[in-house]
Amino acid sequence: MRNILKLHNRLFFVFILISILGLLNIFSVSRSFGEVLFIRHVSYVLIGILFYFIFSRVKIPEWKELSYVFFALAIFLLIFVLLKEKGVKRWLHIAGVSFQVSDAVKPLIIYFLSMMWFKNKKAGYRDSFYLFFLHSIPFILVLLEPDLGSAGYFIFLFGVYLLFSRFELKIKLLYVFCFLSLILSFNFILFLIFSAVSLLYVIFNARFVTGDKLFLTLAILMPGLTVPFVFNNVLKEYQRKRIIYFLNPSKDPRGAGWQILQGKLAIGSGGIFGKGFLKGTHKSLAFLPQAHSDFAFSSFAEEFGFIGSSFLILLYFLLLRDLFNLSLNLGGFSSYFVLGVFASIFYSFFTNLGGVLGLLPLTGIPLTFFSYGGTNFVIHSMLIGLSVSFMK
Amino acid sequence: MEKIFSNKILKFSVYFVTVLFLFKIFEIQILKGEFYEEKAITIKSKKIRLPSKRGRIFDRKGRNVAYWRTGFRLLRNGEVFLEDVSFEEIVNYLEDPDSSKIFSVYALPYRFYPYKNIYAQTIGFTGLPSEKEIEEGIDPLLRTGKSGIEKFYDEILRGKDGYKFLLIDAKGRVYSEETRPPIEPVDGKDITLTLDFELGRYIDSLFKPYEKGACVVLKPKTGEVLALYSKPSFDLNLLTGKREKEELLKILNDTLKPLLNRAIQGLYPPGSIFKVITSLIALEEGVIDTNEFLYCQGKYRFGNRVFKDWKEEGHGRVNFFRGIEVSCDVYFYEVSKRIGLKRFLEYFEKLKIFDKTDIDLPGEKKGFYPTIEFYKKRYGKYGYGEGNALNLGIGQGEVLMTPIEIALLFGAIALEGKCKKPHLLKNKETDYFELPFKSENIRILKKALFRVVQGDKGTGRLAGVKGLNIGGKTGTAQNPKGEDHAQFVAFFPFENPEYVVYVIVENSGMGGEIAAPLAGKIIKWIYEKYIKAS
Repeated sequence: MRNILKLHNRLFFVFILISILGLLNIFSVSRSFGEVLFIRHVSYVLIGILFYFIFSRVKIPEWKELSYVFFALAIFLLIFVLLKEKGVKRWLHIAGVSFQVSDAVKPLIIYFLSMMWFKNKKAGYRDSFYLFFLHSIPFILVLLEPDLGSAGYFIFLFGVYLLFSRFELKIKLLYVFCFLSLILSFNFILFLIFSAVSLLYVIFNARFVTGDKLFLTLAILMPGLTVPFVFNNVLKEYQRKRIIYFLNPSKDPRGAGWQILQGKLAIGSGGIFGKGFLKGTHKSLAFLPQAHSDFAFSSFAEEFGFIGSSFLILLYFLLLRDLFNLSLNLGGFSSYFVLGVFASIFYSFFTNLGGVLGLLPLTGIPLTFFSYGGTNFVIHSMLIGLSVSFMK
Repeated sequence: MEKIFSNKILKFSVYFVTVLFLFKIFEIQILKGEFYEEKAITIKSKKIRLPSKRGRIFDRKGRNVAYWRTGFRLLRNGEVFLEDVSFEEIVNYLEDPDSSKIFSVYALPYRFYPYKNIYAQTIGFTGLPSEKEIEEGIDPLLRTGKSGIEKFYDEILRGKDGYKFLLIDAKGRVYSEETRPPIEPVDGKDITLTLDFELGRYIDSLFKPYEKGACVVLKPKTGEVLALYSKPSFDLNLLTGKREKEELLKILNDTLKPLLNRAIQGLYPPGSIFKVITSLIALEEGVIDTNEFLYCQGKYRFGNRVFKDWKEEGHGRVNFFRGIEVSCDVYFYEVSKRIGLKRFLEYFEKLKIFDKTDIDLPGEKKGFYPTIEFYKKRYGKYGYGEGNALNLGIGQGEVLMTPIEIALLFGAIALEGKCKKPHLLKNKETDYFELPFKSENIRILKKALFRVVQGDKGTGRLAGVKGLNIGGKTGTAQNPKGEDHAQFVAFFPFENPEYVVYVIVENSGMGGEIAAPLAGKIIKWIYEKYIKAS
């Protein structure tokens, strides 16, 4: 009991600490972008903390019927935003409040999917297909906005749930192989090595019956062989280019590569101790695009150096580790729910920093609790609050 | 066992990502920190605007009437010092041995209008974008259309500026150019108009003796507008370049209002021209017989009031055709009495002649016609009556029309019912404008309009052109502030009308004496340049 209380306090403490560092950074950035950003973000943080307190005290019912209602509402919102005629199809304006739909529906969808995974007892191939289908619905709707970065979360969540779930190894491997085959298909040598090793493993493993072996072989070879074929032979040149830029904007000669370089310049010029608070030069020269949202980490790293940025990374590590441990300590539905919250913050952490540090393509995902943005902050505060509420 | 293994993978991935990121920032900030620091301190980015060119405007004969010329902008220590100067002027500054200042010169495209003041209000001018336009994402230095065609077709004509990005070292020298690919400027698209600028220049020469006026020439079959002239005008080139703000202020303060496009914004009493509407209503309602004669003594008694004819001694025996030919007021007082105020007002509601013509220009005004409510408000509940109908019938009532509306009305009369609405962009399709009268009645009216120009007593005979049959109508609008506005409107060739010409000369006198001969010269020009040539 004492242990759990401690965890509860630590989660809150780390969440607040990251938010304060984020506020400092936005204050510094907003001096060249206009103070209004900072003032707005302060109000987002206050609303977020309020949401944290409200939702950490409620007792969430665990009803299957309710989860269907939630899912239907989420799908309705995601379709509704697609029907907008003009502008970016990511935002909805209801009763004077604007919010980013793909973030706003997260609590509803996590609730529904947790329930589905928790209630699923049979754990056969068909069940996994069904669950994958459920995950792909929000994925496709967000992809149509179009927002590949945010959509990716739902597939990522599937992977996390699958590993966590009690599906047999062969089913987990089926999806892992599919995924790896797809990723590696763009490099022939890697694909060859991967397929040889995994095929040997599958074929000479006595645990698998013939049917499983067939399935797994297909999973290893099919995506890797068909995707490059379609890509090279069916698609036209301009379609290929569009897909490459879509998947990896930094290859686009019109600018993303330049952004990453500028981000690295900002981070690198911070050195060990940084240039000091408010003394960063890159953002004020408008070198850094999106210094308050996508590239928030870069401007922070410039001003606070290796000391500051590694401290920030460790704070995220603590937050993620605690959420994961909490999920393990809880049971049943709540365990899946907290894992969904963990997955959301983990996804934002590694796609945002991975993009900024040049390890992954840029996705435009903000760094949760640190970057500027209302919906993302408030929704994740609420999710942390809900996670804490399960401890009681 | 497997479950625990899977959870370990998840936990391991958190550790792995954290360590990977820590290693990466260690590499960027500490191992390569100095390298990045040096680069970041010494190099600044600079955005250089690559101006786009605004689309050109051509007239119907392919003459280039708005394009761009090169002008120079001189910067001293990075700030604009001289705008739109010639190269010779720049050389003067650069040769100055005393100047220790850093000068830089930019060659920029400036708008140029070779026809200067011809159709200036119709073409319109450009200027720096308004705050609202900047909010909508237009570059603060990109000029947008402010009036006329330049405004109406701004989205076609306007280009999109590009930028290039230079890296500049601490001393302001260019460090490298190609760090970030430049955004190429996109030029605006050209447009071709239906206007004839040589005709405009000719009309301007005819208007030389007069201060104010307007002229419209259009082709009713297609809606093409050949001339949309308004005087006084101004040189469009004054509103682009170094002194544009002062010049615009000067033009705005001019009491003659040169910015007003009288052809579409001037509201005038149509005067006797309006007798065509009175005639058409009377024919449609069957209140007159075209062969019925009246005797005009120069006066018309109505109750205890006497209404005068414009010709004091009267016109003698007058039937419908004679009435139009000599523009006999007495005849039309009688016709108006028979129509009655109520019927007039009903027709005004029905007729579309007071509506905007929807020409492709901003700021078009619509005409004005009275209603019962208007009379009650103006004259009191019992202060108006059938006497108002008599004034309406000869066009001296409260009715006001713009030149383009009158020209369109005559287009529809010339084509016996309907014609195309006017437009300035070539090949633009417009709707039909229709009159709610039987074409046989319009044909009767046309016969009378023929006599206005071709008859020996016709008020518009001074508009006559040898070898060409013309139909038309004069109008003299009484003006309480001074001399009358002389007006004349004509269509020709009478047998197969292709053109409508409308002329108004403000404060000049009688329509038949001033406007008709002026219009006659324009008709002759068109006859020679267009009809004979084809």
